[in-house]
Amino acid sequence: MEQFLGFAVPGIPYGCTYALVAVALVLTYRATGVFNFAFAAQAYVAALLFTALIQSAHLSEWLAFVIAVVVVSPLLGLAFDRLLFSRIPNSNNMAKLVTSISLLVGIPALMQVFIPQNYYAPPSIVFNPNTVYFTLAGAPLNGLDMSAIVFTALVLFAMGVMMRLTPLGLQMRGAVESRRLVQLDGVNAGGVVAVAWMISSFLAGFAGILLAPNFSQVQAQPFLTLMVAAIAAAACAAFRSMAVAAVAAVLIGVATFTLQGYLPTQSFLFTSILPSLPFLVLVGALLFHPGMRKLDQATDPLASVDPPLPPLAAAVRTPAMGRVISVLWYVVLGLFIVSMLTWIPRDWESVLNQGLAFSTLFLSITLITGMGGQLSLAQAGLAGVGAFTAAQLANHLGLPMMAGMVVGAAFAAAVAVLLAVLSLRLRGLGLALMTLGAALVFDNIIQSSQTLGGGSGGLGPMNNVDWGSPFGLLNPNGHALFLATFSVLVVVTLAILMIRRGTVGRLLGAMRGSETAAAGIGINLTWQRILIFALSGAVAGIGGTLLVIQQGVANPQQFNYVFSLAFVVIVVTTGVTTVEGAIQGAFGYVIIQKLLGYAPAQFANLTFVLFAFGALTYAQHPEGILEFQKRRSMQRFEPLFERLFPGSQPDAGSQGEPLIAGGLSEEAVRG
Amino acid sequence: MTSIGHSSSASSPAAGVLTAERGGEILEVKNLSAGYGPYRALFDVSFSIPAGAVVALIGSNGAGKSTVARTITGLVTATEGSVTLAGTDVTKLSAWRIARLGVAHVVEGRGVFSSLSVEENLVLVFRQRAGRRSVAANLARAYEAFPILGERRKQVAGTLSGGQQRLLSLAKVLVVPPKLLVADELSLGLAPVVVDTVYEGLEAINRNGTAMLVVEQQVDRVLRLASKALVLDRGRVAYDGTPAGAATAIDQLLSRREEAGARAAALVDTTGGAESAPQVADMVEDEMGGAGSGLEDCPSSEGAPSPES
Repeated sequence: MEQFLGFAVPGIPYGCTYALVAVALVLTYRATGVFNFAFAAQAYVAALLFTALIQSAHLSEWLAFVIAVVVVSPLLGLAFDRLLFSRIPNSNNMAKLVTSISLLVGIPALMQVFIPQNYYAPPSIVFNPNTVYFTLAGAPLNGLDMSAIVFTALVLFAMGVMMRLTPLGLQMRGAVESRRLVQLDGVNAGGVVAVAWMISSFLAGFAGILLAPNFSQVQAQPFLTLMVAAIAAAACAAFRSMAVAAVAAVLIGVATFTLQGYLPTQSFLFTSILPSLPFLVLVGALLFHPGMRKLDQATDPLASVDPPLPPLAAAVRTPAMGRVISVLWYVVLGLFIVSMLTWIPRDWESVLNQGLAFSTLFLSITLITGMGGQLSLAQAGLAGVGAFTAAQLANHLGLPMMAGMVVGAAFAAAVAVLLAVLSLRLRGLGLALMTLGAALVFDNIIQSSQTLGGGSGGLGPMNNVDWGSPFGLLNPNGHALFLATFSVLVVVTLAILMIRRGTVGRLLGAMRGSETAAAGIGINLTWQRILIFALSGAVAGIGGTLLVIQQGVANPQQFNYVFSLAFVVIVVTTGVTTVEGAIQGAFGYVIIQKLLGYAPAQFANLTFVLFAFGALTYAQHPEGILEFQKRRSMQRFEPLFERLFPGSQPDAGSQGEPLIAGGLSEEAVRG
Repeated sequence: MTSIGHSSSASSPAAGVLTAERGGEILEVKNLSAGYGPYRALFDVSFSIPAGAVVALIGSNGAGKSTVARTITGLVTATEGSVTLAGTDVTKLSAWRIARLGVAHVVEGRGVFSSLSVEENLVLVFRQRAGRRSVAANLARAYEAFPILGERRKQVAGTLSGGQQRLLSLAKVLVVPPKLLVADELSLGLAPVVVDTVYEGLEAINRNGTAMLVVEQQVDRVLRLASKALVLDRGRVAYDGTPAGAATAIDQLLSRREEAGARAAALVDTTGGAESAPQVADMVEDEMGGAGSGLEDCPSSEGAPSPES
């Protein structure tokens, strides 16, 4: 018993850190209806600002606290609400998810552009981290532990009182359920929600500066990981009860520390599974907590006041424009192939090869999100599954990477099917969290296991296996890599176009429009969903393998879960509904990154800032801001097209009409 | 129930926010057009509600009745035209400002917060309508008039039965009588006995000066209460006059539709083919005096107009 307590008690303050974040996440969700993925980014901003004000501007701690937490954090929340979330109809869950994920990706990147210095951990406020205040069952509680426990309790109490007992809390709860209905009662719903955003952002900032002293440096990643772990606790409470979330968080902390004490330190369970404990809890909550399945269900009795959402993939192009674009594509394609084989310098050839590999990887997002209508945050993880399978086969069996790619794709598809089966009853937010949890479990396993992932250096070719030479047939020093990658991309693209035009594409289109209606006409939703997950997983696996072949090393960092988020943001910006959107996204990504390589180091992250800003327009332009701009600029030339391609008058009635649930015109998918 | 209207009117501070001159109009709607996104639901609707009057708004499914109600209370923004409340132009005001002017809207279906308890639902509205001080008194009155709500005051509203939820949404507007009550499909889903009670309640608050716009499908019932009737047909006002004349107007409308439907059926029989469907549709359109076809015109969120309806 004594041993147990000795292990368990240090877990309490650790769990309290989770609890603080979990409670704030629940509050945001309950008061604003948005699951705020950007919470981690807000915490990071406050911590960075707080530290910078103290260490660079030499302000006093309290002044820095006031500026960073009391002033800037709520203003940031207010800006989010007024500029972004208040403009998204409450029923548009996909747009809310995409917007908060873009903020999560974009804000830390933006901060690194503005504040490029590395800061050491800021001082902890109120409690001294070096003083031991209490000893509980033999375990000392220092200042950091104290602040975690005391402030979590305070926040929990204050929030509980506010939501349960104050008129503002009542109005917030009403506003989350239906902003319209609460307005009919004379409540200024917009104002109430704005206040909710400010309070929750204040909490994010507060959590940020409480947590920062725990890390050696002020960086975004630990905040992000901590938040995802806290999501697990919040999920145990189905994002409803703050008290349950807090208790679950403390239990997760205690369980982690207790297991840590009992498990042998060198075992697989200790190194790989234990760090994944919160994500396994998250997966468990998603599977077994009935409340989690109802997350995205519309509660607004006045939902019908909103105009019906456009189907996710309504690509409306006039035939003339489609024709012109497809001609342009063939011209660009021809020029690209000729250039790659002739004049393009080596380093750029490798960048463009990378673009081809990313194109394939991004096409998996086109499949799952554009065609399947589901947001998956595990695509980088699935790519990693494929890549590491191929790499291991190459190293141990001497299988050529191109052959290993097929096996890797199959294995990634199998993992995706497992994921699909686990998440059959989840939609929207639930599914996003499930896939995020899966990506993190994969991350932890592959990163910590020397055998599987090759440790921090990654897996490289060994035993004279040449990864870069597909089937050993072509000379790897020529353009073999380009030709091989390019042919794979072409095959994958053609396959996707065929699927899209075929029965499966139509069935998926129907499902995107309305799952209920689709089930009503006899479509087997379960089977279609598993199918699209499998396809997407296979394509991601292929893309991951291509990436590994191209870089000559399989590094777990390439498939970090943060990339899963970033990839979604990129593809959503360039167009998630079309094949060309994925390809544009991939090339935009690698080319911008290469160009920024010439700029000072701090601008390296500008790529993500650019794409994140693009993705913020998702609510207005679900087809992708790039696609929207393309369409708009094309419209100007429409009279010209009509003259160039006579007889391409659109059918009467089809122009400007939102196509039936994702029924993509032939022209729109040509890429 | 009848006691509600009498006893509470004096305690409402909202009284006097809207003061229609005696014999004047409390609500004036002029050339109103509105819709949902690209779908237009109302075309050039004009009518008025005299102070203290009960106006019945009737029409078939998809005629635009709910849209009229929603546009008046600010849930839907008008694209053209104006809504004037006792001399104040409220066309561009947001819903909560209009609500604070003393307009209450009982929405179609279950207009309650299903995650809040019964009492919380009532507190939320009483606080806004009658001020913090009288919340307790109003709660007591609500539970007196609707004992079932008192029994279940701590229960989450979402777990009430459909009829009880309707009662709750009625309690929200009847206990503190508004200046103008917009009631959408009040009797829908209620037992006939309860409907009687509901109408008694409406009469009671009407005697205390609340003007009403009552949207109903139970035409007979509402016409007995109303002092004026409006018939909407496909987003336009087809009749505006006495309740007695409304019945005739509806009959005419229905018979014209039946005729059109019969003609269409006959046409399909004689030409007998799917190719002639557009032709038939055109004929029906002409017959019914509709203005063209296409998406722009159909109030599609409530179903496209069909000859049978």
